[in-house]
Amino acid sequence: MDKSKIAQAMAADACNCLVNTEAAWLEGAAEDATALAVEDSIIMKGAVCAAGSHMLYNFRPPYQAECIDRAEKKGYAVVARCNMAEFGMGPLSSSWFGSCTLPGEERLSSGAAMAVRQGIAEAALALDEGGAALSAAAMGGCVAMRPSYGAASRYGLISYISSTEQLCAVAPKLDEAAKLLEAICGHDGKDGTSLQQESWELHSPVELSGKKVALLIPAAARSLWEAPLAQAALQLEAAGLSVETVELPYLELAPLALQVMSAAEGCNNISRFDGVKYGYRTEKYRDIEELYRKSRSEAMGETAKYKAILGTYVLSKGRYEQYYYKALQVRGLIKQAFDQLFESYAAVLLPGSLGMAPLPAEAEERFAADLALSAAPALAGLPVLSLPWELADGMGALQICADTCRDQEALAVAKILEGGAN
Amino acid sequence: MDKKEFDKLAAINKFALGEEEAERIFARLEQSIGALAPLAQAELGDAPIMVYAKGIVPVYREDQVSQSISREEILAGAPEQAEHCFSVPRVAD
Repeated sequence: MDKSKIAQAMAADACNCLVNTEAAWLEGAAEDATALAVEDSIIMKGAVCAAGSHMLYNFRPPYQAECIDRAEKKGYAVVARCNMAEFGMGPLSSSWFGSCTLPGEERLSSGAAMAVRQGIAEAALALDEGGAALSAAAMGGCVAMRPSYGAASRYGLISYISSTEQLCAVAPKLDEAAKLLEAICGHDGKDGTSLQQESWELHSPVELSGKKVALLIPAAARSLWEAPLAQAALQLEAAGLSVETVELPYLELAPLALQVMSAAEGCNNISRFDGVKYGYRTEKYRDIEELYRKSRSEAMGETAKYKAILGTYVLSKGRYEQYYYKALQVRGLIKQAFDQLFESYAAVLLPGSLGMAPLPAEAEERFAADLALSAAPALAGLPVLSLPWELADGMGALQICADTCRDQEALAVAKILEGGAN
Repeated sequence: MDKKEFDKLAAINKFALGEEEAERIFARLEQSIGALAPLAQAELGDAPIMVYAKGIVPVYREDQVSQSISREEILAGAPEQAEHCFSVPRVAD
């Protein structure tokens, strides 16, 4: 790594992409190490890890995420921590550290993407719950890859949606993202959701010639994405693949199911933050109840509170069957539908964003709209890649997904498209 | 959700919300719950549920004693501590 260039890029950060970063990390990194940035939800021993929240503004964990240990063993060195939405909830504007934006613009981005784009890191790790980290990376001019659910250990992550979230690698090019995932993926006994596969050879040769790719265009994205996806289809056909438009049953219910699951799991995951064991504690309190109430109310943002209350609602007596149970049923039906699709198709191509990076005023609306595109693969735990793709109004995000544990097929298809329309 | 239920759920979550903040969150919740109607009304019959992605089986470690995080390391992050324990207001008379 070129330390002086990285130090200059850090000093010139025009995006508010860095948080809780210590200069000593860069100074102490080996010259031949690959500079890595990690999102603020990935725990590093002894470093402040706040997950974008005031609630954890001084939290220095006594242990470290498995992904960091593995990355370091493969020659990466963490040089920076990245800004993110509070606990990963909601739009990127919900961070306690303020919004991260594209360089010199108002439009929102993610800390991981901007750390890579500005040359602060050669690659970054972020936690992707429902596709937001993937699409933010592509709209910010980077690529991102989220492996099959269970491929990368979730040990040492500040969780939000435990049943869908998975680490994703953000980099300038697909090969770099895949290399980082190869370094961190593999079975980990410390994670109860870890797949048994010991290693992941994402670059292993894949014969795609003659195979079919499915084009999935949700109704809301049709007018914006029909022409850009036709261009992608032409590139794939030129490489010997055939492309067919398909429909996926229950697709319209996928974002609703993810909304319910995110609230239900999110409210449980943030219930542990109480001002007693670590993190923020209010200054004045009369009893334990007031300590809890004031600490949580003063330090958590509005989106976190909204999610927690919604989660308690969908899990409450009489609502559980109506919302949460049905959300789990939808997940099963979506997975079944993908399983059927992958009997005939090697990969699925679908839009990942309803336009370019959002302005702060449209952040909430766009977050929900983009979720409608990316929820289905996330629910099914599929490997997904995200590429920058030129739309009529600017850079959007194109997604490529494949069947579970066939990550290398998604990567091979994405590599045909890499650099195709950006 | 009515206002009474909203207040109850906020209390369960240990939130003391200001008036304006409560109004904004309540409005968001009303909108979200309305948008969830297609899910609540969907006829899904006895379709099986899927809690985790396919292929995940619970992983249990070997039952072996190993080095854990020390009490000192854990207490180092506590907002207040006393006598080698987390310190909280009195919870029993």
